[in-house]
Amino acid sequence: MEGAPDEELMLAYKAGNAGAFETLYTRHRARLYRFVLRAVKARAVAEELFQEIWMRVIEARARYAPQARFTTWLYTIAHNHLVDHWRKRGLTLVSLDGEELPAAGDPDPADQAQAREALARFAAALDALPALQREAFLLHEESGLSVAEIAAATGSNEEAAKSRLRYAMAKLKAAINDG
Amino acid sequence: MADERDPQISQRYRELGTEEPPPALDRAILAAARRATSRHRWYSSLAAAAVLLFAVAIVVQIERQPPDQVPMSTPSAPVVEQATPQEREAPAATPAKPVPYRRARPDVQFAPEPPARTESAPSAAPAPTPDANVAAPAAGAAADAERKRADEMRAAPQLQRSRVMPRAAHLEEEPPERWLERIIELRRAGRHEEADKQLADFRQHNPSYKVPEAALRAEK
Repeated sequence: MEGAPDEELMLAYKAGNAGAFETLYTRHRARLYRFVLRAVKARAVAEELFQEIWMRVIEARARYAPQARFTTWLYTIAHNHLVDHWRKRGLTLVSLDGEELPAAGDPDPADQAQAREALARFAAALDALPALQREAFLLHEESGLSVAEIAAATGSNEEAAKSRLRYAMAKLKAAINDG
Repeated sequence: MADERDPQISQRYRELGTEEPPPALDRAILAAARRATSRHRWYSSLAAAAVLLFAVAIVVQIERQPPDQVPMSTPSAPVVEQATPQEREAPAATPAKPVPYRRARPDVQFAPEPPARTESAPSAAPAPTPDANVAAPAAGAAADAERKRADEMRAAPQLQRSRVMPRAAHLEEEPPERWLERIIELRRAGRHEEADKQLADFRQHNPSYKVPEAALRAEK
């Protein structure tokens, strides 16, 4: 079942094939993890949410019906968990405090390599995006969702999704060009 | 064109790193997925077993039902009544008429020695078991086998009752005079062996009844 479409794998898992889930998980784990990690910016929280999302997939398998791409369904679940997470945090959606991503890194004054500075600016710009814009960008860039799929996954309309994505890309582009 | 990616942004985004979930997290999630499917199998097995049990129960119930349902659909009385008017309308010399009645009798042989008249009235309903054979002689062998299997499924008291009741029903509907007439008809038809059996049965149930000569002839 290695080459089977996601939807087929999920249906197989629904029918009791644990191997199908393993294939599906292997296919999506890294992207989903990075999506969550960059959305919440804290590794411990990201890991907790990541696990909750997959547990939700496991629990919801009996109700799964391939009406849309599996990816859209998966990221809809992820979006809902992120929204819950943000609500619990009092909608501090653009928090810059707490644990920051090691990859984004704090600019190290001792290491002034231009590329690293540019990357740091980009990471900072990404972190600074409003949560919904960042989510739209991550869904697009990391997870490969189209505007329509982003709208479906986030429960918004296409115009709103397109607008968020456009704003996010403009800010990130500006951060790159600032260097 | 929002669906199109900006190569510069994409490249910079990739440079942020390719973090992956820790292996322990992978293992925990995959183990949970496997547990869920094993639960699924357990539930499926349980459901299958329940369905099987239910099906067996239905089959057993169906096997038990026919003897009890036959009286509802083809009650004994009508069958006997069908035969009886024919016999009454037929001339006394008609030899073939008693045959249906005779076919019903073998089941009566199973009955122990009950005081039939005391059982007669309330037990009329189950009587059709033997009469059903009378009504459908062509299906006799298969129907008998099926009925025997069904009977074997029943408790012993039920078995006894079902075999006693036909005679009780018969006695309820068949006055001694009429029974003797049948025996006499058998004598006239030369079917003395059957007549003797009938007479013996008659005497068991009517020990004090005076049997006319015409019915006794073969004994002499």
